[in-house]
Amino acid sequence: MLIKKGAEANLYLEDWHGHKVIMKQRSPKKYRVAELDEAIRFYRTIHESQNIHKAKEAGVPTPTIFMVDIAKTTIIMEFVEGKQIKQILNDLPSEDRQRLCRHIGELIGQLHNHGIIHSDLTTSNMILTLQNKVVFVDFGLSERSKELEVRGVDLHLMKRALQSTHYKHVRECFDAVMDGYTSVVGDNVARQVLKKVQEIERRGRYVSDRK
Amino acid sequence: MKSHVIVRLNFPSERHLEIVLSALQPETKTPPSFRSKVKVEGVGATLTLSFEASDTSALRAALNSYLRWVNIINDSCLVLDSMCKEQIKNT
Amino acid sequence: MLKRPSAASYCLGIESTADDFSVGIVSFDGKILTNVISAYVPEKGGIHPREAARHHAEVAGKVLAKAFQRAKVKPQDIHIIAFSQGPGLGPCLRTGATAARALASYLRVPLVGVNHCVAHIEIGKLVAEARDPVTLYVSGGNTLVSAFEAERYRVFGETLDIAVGNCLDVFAREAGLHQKEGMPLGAMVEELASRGQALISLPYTVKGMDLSFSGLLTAAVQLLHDEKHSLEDVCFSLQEVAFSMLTEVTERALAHTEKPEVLLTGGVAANKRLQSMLKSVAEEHKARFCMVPKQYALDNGAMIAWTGILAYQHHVTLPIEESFVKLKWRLDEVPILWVGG
Repeated sequence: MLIKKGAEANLYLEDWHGHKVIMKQRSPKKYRVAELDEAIRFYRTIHESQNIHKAKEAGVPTPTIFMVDIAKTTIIMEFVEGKQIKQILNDLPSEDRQRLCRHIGELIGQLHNHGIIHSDLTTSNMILTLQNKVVFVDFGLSERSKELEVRGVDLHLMKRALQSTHYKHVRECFDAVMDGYTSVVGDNVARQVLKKVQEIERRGRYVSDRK
Repeated sequence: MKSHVIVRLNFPSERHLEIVLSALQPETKTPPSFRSKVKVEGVGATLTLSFEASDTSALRAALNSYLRWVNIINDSCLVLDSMCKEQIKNT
Repeated sequence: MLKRPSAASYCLGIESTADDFSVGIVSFDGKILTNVISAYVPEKGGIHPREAARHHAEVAGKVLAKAFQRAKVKPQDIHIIAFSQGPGLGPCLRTGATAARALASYLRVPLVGVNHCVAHIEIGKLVAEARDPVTLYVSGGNTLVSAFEAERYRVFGETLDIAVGNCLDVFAREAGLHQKEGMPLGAMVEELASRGQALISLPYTVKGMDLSFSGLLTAAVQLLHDEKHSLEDVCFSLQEVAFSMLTEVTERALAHTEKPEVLLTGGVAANKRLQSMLKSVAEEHKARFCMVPKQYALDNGAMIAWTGILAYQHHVTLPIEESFVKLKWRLDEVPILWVGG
């Protein structure tokens, strides 16, 4: 059953040997030339499954992967039951919202400590399970890096996601995220990454001097 | 080398100067460079621009900016002047 | 004494954020009477802000006179003056703003400061008849994906470094191409790309809904120096990668917002290959693809005039003494009072 027709992949909810699973299929995009399209789909399928696994090793909850079919650019993984953070964040009492964001910040810190960059940190890619656990999903754009710049971009994306869907609580939420992040990566790294975030904000988003 | 220049410009009317002053005013309040200072004064139909700069290239930049602005204000007014006159002729 | 605006009232808009100086005159009921554009073409290299500003000051009188002539409107019929207040290059913005203040002061009419990016979206909606689109705005200075949500045009995706138009321009100059009047560098790259066939691997960088073009530019320029591939193939590959990235983030925004339309605007919107890619994703999501005609997709005065009218009708005016330019004025800082929902 198709449950989400995304821009990057389609998600199907299926039964797989008695398990409720998500089948994530990257279908060809007509707008791209075939060669580029295939390269992107293969690359992302491989990286997504690898980094979901690495994230687990870093202590960040992610769906369990059951099967990867590279030829069909398809991943079969555990269906995580719960609610997207996006759906609940705005309606939480302020204190709970901050606690949740702090926890998200800690998880991002754990990923970064292990050299994993999610590259698509939005509140729709985080699920609060029935057991009150936050699970990170959609590692399709993820990469391996320890560079400050790349970490900065990752957190910048988080901030941007807060700005576009949780504009009333941006400050509160992002401060809490950074708070949790700092507690995991340490003051020194956190300070440098935050500096990068500010630099990125000044840079691309405005009309800068053209070359 | 600290540099000073005073420029005096005579406009056709007091009304004209009033327009020039109002159009320039926001720019004098937010100078594009810290290396120069400009004082803008209007008396009668005469505009006095006093430039003070920390070096000659900053002076030139400030002079250029202001003369460019005065120019564009003038040209804009001329277009309106000519059209308003034309209309008087036609009626 | 202020006249009450009617359908026969007009707004004169001045655009001067970058290399174009333009004056447009639009009626309050949305008829574009004229849109005169004068482009500054640098003899070599990119835009020098001061040189561009000098160009604007030189042509302003002529452009203004031509606009009045073509519109067949008398100065007394101008009800408001609008100008591009930002974002943009300092010297260019200041020059246009000075002219706008002079006109408003001369005619004793209200002045309205317009955000350049908002204006691109509004004129696009007007001429391409879009109501509530996801907009991809691509030019030499801007690359952004935006859609309306809660009083603002929210920015869903944007470049993390250089604008896509800037990427193509710098590449073209590195390839030894020279800009001519009426033939922008992007059009030359497009023409060469249409004859390319082999796809060369280049960095494809999408992060969330944001994009990065600087790595792509560096790699493409490196290919030129390697001299292993034809220029046609390099242009082809550069375009395919850059435009696939743009299309992907637009599709993401479309899937996220479920808007009924996709609007393509900005200088790079003239590219046929980019148009066909966006048309394809729009169709896939059952959204209407809205193309902004070139003269309103490029920087132009009509878009400033029209957006000035929309703002003025919601009581937004700017006292002349407070009409400072805003070099870094973000799209999502502007309250969009005239769009309901």
